[in-house]
Amino acid sequence: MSASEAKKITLKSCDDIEFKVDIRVASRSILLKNMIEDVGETDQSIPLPNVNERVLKKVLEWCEHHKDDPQPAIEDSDTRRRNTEIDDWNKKFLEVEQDMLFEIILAANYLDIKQLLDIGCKTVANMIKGKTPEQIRETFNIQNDFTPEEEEQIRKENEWAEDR
Amino acid sequence: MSSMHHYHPLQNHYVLTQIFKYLTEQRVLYSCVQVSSHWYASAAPFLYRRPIPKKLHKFINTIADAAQHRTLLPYNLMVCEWILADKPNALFMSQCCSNVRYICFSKHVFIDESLTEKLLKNWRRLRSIVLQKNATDETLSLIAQHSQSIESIEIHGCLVTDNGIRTLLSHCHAINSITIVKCPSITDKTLNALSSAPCTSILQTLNINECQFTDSGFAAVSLFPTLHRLSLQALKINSGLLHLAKSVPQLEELTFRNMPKLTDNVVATFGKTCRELKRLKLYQCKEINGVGVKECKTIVELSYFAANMEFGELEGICDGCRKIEKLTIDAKLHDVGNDEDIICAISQLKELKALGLYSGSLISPLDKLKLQKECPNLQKIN
Repeated sequence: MSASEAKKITLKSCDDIEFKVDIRVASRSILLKNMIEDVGETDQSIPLPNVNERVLKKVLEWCEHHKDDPQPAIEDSDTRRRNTEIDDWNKKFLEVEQDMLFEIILAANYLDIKQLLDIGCKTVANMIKGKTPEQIRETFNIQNDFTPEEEEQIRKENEWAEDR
Repeated sequence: MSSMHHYHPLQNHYVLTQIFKYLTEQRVLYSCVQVSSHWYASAAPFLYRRPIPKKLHKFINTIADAAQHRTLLPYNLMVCEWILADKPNALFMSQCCSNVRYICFSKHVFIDESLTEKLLKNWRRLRSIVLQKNATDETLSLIAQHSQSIESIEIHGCLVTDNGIRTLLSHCHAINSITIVKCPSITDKTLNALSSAPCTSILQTLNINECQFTDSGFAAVSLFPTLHRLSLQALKINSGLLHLAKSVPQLEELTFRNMPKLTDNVVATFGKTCRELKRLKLYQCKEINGVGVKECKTIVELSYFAANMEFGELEGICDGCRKIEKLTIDAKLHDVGNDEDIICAISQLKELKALGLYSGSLISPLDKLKLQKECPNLQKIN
């Protein structure tokens, strides 16, 4: 095996499509990074039962673009300063249909790619702002599973936070 | 689109909490808790984490009900931060909300020592205390007695003395962040106490603003081996900082604001001795012209606010500090030949990601393109 080949691994999506990728690119995923470290170099493909071809392709595009970024620092406990700004490249990257956005978030969660999960979640957070509960349900196709009594109780218990 | 997943991703508690941590506005979180049962369970802890009630009596009623298990969730146990802006309910809150980690004594409300003691006794898990205006040495002594696990203390505009600080520091060994602002009775003895306290070995953040500290006070401090962030504001000192620079080997962030006597020599000394320095912020220090900055070769972020700046100093900075990723200059630039010179100087910063230039001249779209060609990571130009 030549040196350049040694630096690649094969990932297999849940719909059986194989992707040959640089270890450096794949290592943006902490799950894959740990796997590679545990298993060592292997010719066998790594199956990813939770990610289909379309999503894996998109996630790997992100990993490729960010392969030289420093790994994120340990979580800052001061959440007060969190901002929801997203840089232009990432904004454009996430201009996708809502289903795809969620698939990316879930894949980032499963593959443990913190920065991708963060920008995905920021994007959703920005979509929530300024909406009423009903508008949020409509936007994300969420079912209201409260009984009328529960709904009234929750509204009442938390009324203190109302603007009016 | 056919989905790989059989459940809605916005029912996943982990994903939801990752989203909600970006939502800080109370009314947005109030909408979130009403969406569905999953959202309610995930968003409520965020709504109650640092409540600032619009309708205080309703909030107090909810907390009272929660403490008696009459609410759907134990909201009282979700409160982590509380501002003591209302005296009548302070004791009640301390009795119901045992998980509060951060409290802030408001400057608008006077809480006497006897009530302070009761509050501190009830809140056994405090990590951070902010004192504003009304605190005395007695307050500090009560903290030393009842809140020995605190990690952060801020004292703003209080009549506390060196003795109070000394008592506090001799009991609270876990303090890693100290902020002292406008406390007129505090003297160099506090600096001395600071540099010999048990927490000196773990202190990470030190903010001092408008106090009576002198050069000789700073010249006498001993080593702060773990100090990462130092911010000094409105202090009439200079030479003592030459010594301080050598006492903070792990310094990563340095801010000087409105320091009328501060010279470039001090800035250069910090740059030469603090090899971990990443962020340098200089705001309105009128004796400084920027020549010291170029010695801070390790910095990745520079914010420089002043009335004026010689173009030659900017050139020197861009030549000397090649690791800069974020550069903000708010100063009228003098002696610039033409705008191209500025672009030429800045284009030496190959790591640059964000640039804010408020120098009196505008960057044309063409210049922006030129810069982005020279600095491939540059994404934001203001």
